[in-house]
Amino acid sequence: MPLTGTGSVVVPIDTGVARFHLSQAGAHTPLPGTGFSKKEDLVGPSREVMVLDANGVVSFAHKVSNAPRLSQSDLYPVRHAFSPEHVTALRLLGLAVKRTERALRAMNDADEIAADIEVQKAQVLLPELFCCRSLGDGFGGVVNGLLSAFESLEGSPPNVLQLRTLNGVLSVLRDKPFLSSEEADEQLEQLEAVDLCLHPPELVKFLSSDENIGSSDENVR
Amino acid sequence: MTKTYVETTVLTDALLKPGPRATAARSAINSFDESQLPVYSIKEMKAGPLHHYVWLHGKLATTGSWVQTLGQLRRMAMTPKRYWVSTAVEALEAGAHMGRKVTLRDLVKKYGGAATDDAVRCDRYRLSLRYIIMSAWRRRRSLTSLVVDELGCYAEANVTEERGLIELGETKCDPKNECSLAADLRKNPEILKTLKNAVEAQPAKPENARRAKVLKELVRLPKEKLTAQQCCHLGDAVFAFFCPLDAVILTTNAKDIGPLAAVLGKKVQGP
Repeated sequence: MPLTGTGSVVVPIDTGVARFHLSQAGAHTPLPGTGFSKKEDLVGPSREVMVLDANGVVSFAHKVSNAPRLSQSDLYPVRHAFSPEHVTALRLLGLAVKRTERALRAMNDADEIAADIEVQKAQVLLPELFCCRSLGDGFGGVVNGLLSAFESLEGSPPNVLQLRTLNGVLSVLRDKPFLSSEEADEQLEQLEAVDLCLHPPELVKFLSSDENIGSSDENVR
Repeated sequence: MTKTYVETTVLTDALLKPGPRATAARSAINSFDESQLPVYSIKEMKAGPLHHYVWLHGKLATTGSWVQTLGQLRRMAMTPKRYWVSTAVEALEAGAHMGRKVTLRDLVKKYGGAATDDAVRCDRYRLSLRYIIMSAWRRRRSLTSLVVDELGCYAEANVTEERGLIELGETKCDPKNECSLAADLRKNPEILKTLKNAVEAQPAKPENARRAKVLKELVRLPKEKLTAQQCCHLGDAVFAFFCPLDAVILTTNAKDIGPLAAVLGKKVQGP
């Protein structure tokens, strides 16, 4: 399968020699606009081949392939690379980052209306971004947190600190859309730290209900 | 110097109930100079509320549908356990109803099933629950200034994720000989008797009957081994017994724990 833009060839998983793989960590050669880079990696995959000698004796040998390979651990992140969801997510996240940057600039200029308009424009991108959650639970978790954060503001504009954090989280997600759940948690903790609620309001109400779990002896013991 | 001994319900509020309840619980904990969290609270939170959250998360993950999960919640509300009673479920239904006003039609055309209201709601709740569960476990030992009364027979197995489901690991104690609290409890038979009398004076509830029976047996049969199950039945009595005299038990369940603490000259406080 040709890999657009690199000239490399991605060969299906095998048990061996990986020359290059797509990774977001330890980038060497960035692939513009994708958050991916080409990176040298482990030497590994080989294939067992059957050899028939002149005497008709069959033996097996390991043939080392020169083709670039993907290791198993890399399969999941790249499975959705360049999928319509990935491309859409990068486009929408790029827009959202720019909108929040403009909002911050407007806030600096004490133009609260302009800032709020930019925030609104960033917020309306989020439902579609959530539709791109096949990129992973880390991605889905952060977008869910962002959706809830805006919902929890109930129409009020975020303050400068909140907006700066929202911009930071959106930027991280744009640069690393295939982030793990643990990495997503770190981003969510940043939103929590500036008093943004990360969960749908009706779920918060449900979990906080007096009649819900954890409030009585009967439930705990 | 003010001290508090944090009971399970406040730990649960602080870690598992997002919103005002968490804020109130954390503020209450931080209002003391020293906050002590007994491992018994962690054990109870994991075996109770956290376990139920994991159940709900699993339902959302396996059905992939909010509507189907809601059906399971309604069924649960009708059982004697009633983890989620009908009014609490209604709050969720109301939220879901509000969500239907938002049109996702264009997105459904583009993204198919992933953009339907049912799938979006299911995944949003699942991802939120995952974060709440994992962060609660991660923060449990940093919530208070001290973690006290470690339990030798309780392995605080880590919470992990496997194939999209959350794995709590072992939630019960595994005493080699007997419950690790037994020796300390038996040192004070007079306190046990006082507690037993206080429990018996409380309204007749199954957990009070079980608690009184265990306290009675600890005094009457000191050579009998205290089992892990009996330790669970002790519940409120453990907090009243082990809370230091100079500390206040922080609980949302003052109605039940208050009388037990009072007979031992200890105080309880709500968040």
